[in-house]
Amino acid sequence: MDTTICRAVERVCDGIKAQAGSLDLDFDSLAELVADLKTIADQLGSPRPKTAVVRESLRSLEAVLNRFAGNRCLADVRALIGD
Amino acid sequence: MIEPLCPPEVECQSKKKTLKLISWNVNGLRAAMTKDFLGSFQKLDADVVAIQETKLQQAQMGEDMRRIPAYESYWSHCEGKKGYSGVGTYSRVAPAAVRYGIGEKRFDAEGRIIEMDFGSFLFFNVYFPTAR
Repeated sequence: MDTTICRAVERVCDGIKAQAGSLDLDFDSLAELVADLKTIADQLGSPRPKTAVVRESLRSLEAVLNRFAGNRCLADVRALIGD
Repeated sequence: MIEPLCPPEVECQSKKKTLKLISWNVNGLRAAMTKDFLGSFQKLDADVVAIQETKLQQAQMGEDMRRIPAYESYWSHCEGKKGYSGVGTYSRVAPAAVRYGIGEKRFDAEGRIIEMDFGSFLFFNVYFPTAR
């Protein structure tokens, strides 16, 4: 993953973090979202971030966000996944 | 014995989803910073860390205390006495709302309570006064 992509992932994750508490997630969904954000942050901090790990975590984030309509980060996550 | 991974088409449900919440009386954050507070903090790998007795005023806060990578931070300081009381909370995600104090001036001015609303639960960081 190059620096530009890493920054883009970081920006999207920051957006999700900023609104996580306001998403009205149940506890399990919040815990899942936090775990995915943590995995991504760990990868971005690695000398060689693994695209597959980040992509799978983004898919998991997408699944959580998808359960809660009207989330403005969802489009950004989907754009990053590139589906 | 090592259990095999779930097959990719099956979502692994073996572990209950949890958040790691830590409460830590640091007995002076500036002193703790000189004793590798940040190193211990990283080792905890927690999702929310509530610290008490920060013994700080706003002006004494360093950026290294305020901004730990991947965490948001929230603070309540003692307004009157310097080097007394004070609480701070670090969180991986921002809560929906943060409230300071309980509406009781004599306690609220001492930087003793931060309440964070995460939607599905409330998290209180409280430094209780001694019973006198």
